[in-house]
Amino acid sequence: MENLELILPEIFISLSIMFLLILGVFKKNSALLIYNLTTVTLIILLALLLNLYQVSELSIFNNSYKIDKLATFMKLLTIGSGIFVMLTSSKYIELTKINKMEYPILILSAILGMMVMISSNDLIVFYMGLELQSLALYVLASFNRENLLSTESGLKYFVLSALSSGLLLYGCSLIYGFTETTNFNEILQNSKSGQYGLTFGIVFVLVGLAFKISAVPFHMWAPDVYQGSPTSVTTFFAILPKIAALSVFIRFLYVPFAEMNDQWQMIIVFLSIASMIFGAVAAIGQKNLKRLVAYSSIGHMGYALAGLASGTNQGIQGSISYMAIYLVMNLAFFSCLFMLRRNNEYYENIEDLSGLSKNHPVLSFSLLIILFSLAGIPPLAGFFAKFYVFMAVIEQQMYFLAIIGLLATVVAAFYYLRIIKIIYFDKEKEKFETNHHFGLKITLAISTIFILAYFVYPSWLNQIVSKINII
Amino acid sequence: MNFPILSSLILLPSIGALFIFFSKSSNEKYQSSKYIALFISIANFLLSLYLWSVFDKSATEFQYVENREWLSGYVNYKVGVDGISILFILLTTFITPICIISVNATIKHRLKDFLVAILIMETLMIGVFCSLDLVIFYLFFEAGLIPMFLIIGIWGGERRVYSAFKFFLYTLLGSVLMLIAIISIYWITGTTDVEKLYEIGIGEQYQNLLWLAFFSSFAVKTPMWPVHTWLPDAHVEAPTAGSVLLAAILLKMAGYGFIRFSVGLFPVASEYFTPLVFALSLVAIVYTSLVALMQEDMKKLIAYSSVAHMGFVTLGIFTMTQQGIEGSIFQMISHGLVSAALFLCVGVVYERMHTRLISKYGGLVNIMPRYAIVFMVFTLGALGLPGTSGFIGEFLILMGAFKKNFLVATIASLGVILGAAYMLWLYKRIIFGEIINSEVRNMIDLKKFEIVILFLLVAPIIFFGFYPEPLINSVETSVSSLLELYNLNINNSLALK
Amino acid sequence: MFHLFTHAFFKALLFLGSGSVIHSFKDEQDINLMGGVWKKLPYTYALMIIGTLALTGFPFLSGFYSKDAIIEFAYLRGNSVGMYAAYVGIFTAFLTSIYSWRLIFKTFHGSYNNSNVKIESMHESPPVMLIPLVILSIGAIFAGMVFKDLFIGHSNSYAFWSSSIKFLEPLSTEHPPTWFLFLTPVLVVLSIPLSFYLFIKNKSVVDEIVRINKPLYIFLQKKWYFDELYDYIFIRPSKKIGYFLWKQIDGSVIDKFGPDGISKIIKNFSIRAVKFQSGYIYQYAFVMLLGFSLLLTLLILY
Repeated sequence: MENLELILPEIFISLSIMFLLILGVFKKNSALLIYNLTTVTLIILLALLLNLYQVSELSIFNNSYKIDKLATFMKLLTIGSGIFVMLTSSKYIELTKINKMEYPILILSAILGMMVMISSNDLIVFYMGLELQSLALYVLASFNRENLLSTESGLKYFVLSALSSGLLLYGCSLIYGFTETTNFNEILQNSKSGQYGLTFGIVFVLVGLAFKISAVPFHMWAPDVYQGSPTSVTTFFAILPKIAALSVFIRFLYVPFAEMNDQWQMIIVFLSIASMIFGAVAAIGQKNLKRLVAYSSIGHMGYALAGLASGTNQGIQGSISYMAIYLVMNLAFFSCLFMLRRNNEYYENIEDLSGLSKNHPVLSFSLLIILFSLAGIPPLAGFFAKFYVFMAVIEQQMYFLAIIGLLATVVAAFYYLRIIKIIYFDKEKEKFETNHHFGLKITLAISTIFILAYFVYPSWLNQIVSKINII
Repeated sequence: MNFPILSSLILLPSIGALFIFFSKSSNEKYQSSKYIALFISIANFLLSLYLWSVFDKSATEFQYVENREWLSGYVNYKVGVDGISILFILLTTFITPICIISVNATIKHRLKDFLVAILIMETLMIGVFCSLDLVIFYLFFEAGLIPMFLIIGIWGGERRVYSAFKFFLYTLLGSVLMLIAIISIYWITGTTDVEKLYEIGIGEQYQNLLWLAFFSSFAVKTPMWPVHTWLPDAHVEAPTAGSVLLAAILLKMAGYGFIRFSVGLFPVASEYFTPLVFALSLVAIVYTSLVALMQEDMKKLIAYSSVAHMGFVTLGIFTMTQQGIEGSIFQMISHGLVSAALFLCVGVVYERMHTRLISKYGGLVNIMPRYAIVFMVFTLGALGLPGTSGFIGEFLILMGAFKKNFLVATIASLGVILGAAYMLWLYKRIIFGEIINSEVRNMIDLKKFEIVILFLLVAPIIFFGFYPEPLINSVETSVSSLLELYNLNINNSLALK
Repeated sequence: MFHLFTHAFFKALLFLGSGSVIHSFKDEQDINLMGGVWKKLPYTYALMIIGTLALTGFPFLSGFYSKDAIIEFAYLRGNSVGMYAAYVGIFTAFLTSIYSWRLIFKTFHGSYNNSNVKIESMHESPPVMLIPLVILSIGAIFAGMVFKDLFIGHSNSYAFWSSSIKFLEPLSTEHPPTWFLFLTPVLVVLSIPLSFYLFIKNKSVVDEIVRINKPLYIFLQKKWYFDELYDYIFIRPSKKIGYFLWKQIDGSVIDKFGPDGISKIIKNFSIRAVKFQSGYIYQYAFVMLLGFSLLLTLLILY
């Protein structure tokens, strides 16, 4: 039990959840208090995790739970973005009247699920984390229960997610059947290549994971859920589960099946290409900004998967850097969305942005930077994200993937440009409100400056990420 | 390491842009912002002049090299100049203040943002010309799309959205392949440092594909036939200062890229693809000259003439002769000045009449005699009359071409004649003839600031027409060392076979 | 190349000079309707003469050097074609000088023939038009002398181009016979009084010739129908080709199949992709399962 301090963050967050739940039940009108306490909890968690950062690699609980650089870094990303999500959405949930005390608690439990997923080194632990996360997310998606779209999206997410979880579980049992173990490291030892059953198992599990990061063709839920859920939840959806799912992807592919990479490589390449192309093409026709973000995140997941497809450490590092930069860009974009408020109502259609630059020069400049960065135009951060990934892809001489990917960026650039066009070239509309709360402003400022100034010293992320070696 | 003069050249405009961006101008017209921008750009010009004067023209290696760690382990921030790039830097720093003066008349709204965009653009363009690392080069090369997209889109004409999109996506499509090639070079050779790559060379088996990838980017940017169609649209819709930047400098980035990267890094492939480049250049020269003949829109005519002139440039570069390459460089500088001037001239009348249709004009000589004179100088410069800088470039290119291939040179000479035809015809229709349009009578002759900027352009066009030596001197050593390297590589590869 | 270079100067000079005259005549272009205005337009007159002299290859003006050089080279080729070319060259030089002088005399000398514009109202062009003329005339006079060495010279031409042009080896130091060298200038000089006589002093000679060869004259007067022919052979087709290339190739082929076409296709796909998103859960689930089985099949086949 001397290793208990390694899971101190997890213990802390579980206790906080229970405490906050009790507080919420017994204290009336405590929604705001709990919300703020949740933010504080997350900040403390961040500190606890930073404390763990020196640990290079340790596994506990019969080698089923891993604390290594990958886990800690991904958890840091998760919780860091969690804090910013909380900061940005406080006003939103108040105005849309979803400031119930359950809301922050659900977010915390989702985060706990993600942390378990990220650290898992065992199929069962991983599944447990996944379900904990998903259950919280189902509720969150339909949290605005007066809104038809919101309930619908929650239901859709639930049904489809159940289907994918079923597939995933079936895959786990197949793998267990053929290797007689659920532990990732032991699977590696017990697996013999050429076993169809094992391959089937991998496919089943990958389908379940692909669903979580909404890779094509398992993306169908994403646009509806993104649009239907409250924007604050969409922000959460667009960022946090993806970080967790990607780290599971990495661990699942590179630890137990490291030697079967020629088999799963093809699946990943397929998912990646399909997502990049479909995300880019389908986004062009969208009118709703949240829906557009859904497609754009489908595309972005395609790029992150491209890094994984390379099958090297370089590729993993590329994907992780991609995620890190992607989450900053998304945070920034959603902060802008939260600013489109007029008379206590939020606007989310692309047309509402028309001529924004006349009345809100700073906001539209940030959007400009963010959108160009999402499109991957140098020297903004988004370019570096793609650069790292394609470095890895081309190192493995997967030119086909690289060319398709970069051509898809050109198509994707089109819809980002369209938004910029609407902001900058079109006639202006009514002004939006400008009195935003501090958390939102600071989030937007930090993330925009990060995107804009990333090129000045790009090695810092590299230096951190390059310490993550799985193989 | 001494004073980092190149980095200051790159950074200075950006600092100015930041300053303008955050400063609050008291009056509506943003006079102070304009003066700041002008001051910064002129300071930058003087700095680059200083650089030119202290630059050692006889040295073959890159000078004022700065090498800093940037993306640790992969890419270093490396800049430096040789005789070729320094001319383009000068051109950039020279054209930018002219653009800034010219906004007086052409930009009616959001002047501050426009100045910021132009200054950022200057930073990026200088960066392109002095970067000595492929990734850094790509960064500057691509980043230029953002301000240019905004310049066309925000301050452009009626079809600005279509043009801006076309410009952006066309050029982006071209250059993503270059990015793949750059990364491939990194994995093949282990570096993206241009100087090192010159030394170690790139394996012959890779060269053709890499060359094509670079070519796809530069060909779009040049623009070469048949990927030139973005240019007329972009030019027509861009505001005057935007057209000037586009024609004078942006197109030159591709020509520069051809010399520095295509020829320098992939000599064997360049030799292999020379017929392709020749064919496309010739088509561009003849084809676009014919198209230019028929244009009804002045800006479109000049845009098409730019395509033809850039056709000469690519032709000259791939003659792989001393004259050809020097001629191309000279032609680029000259075309930078002349096309900038022509667009400014169009801007002058457009601002008064709000139309670019040639048929609406005529008989301007009676109303605007001073305008008629300067316009004539530029027309003659564009058609390459001896005594203007245009002649020297075209002449040297044709010399080089005659050495290489008689037929190619002959067809190219045809282009010279056609060039004279459409330019003189344009001049005749606008300046001479009856005054048909009564509105023309109300036009006023050049204002003071217009005289200043146009004279600033007349002077070098004529000066370098009669005395090209300073320019030629400065590129001579660099070109000959480039060719030496080139021939060495070609001979080696022949010997291997 | 040398001739092209010098040619540019005096042709431009003549071109703009006649522009100046035409301007003075209020846009009258027919030289038959001009005449006798040389006193009224002294500068233009002088400049036009310089241009004409240079054009005809009058000794020591720029045209002389270049034209001579061509004829000389042709002569020095030494074979019959070269000789033939040389003689044709001389003959055309002679004719050129006659017609150019005709232009001068008809325009500036003789009686005033224009009824539309009163001679009193004639005036010199504004300096705006004259200054470029002066510059060009200086070029026309000196360009030959100054640049002679540079283009066909034997030495020290390298300074100007500073070795960027390694010039043709000096072709030959051999010279044609002296009489030959003098032939052209002499003929050219002779042509001046001849044309003066023909077109001003004694018009009857010309008229006589004209009457005898009426159809030929008309044919000739219409400049051999060269303008029409030119128009027909070169200008109209090139305009048509230009128009075709612009509208058809640029517009309908490159753009249609290039950027516009591709973006249209992508937009089409996009619309389909949007419709694909029907909103029904069972369809979503179906797509997922379809994708899943696709992956499985892919793996099995692989």
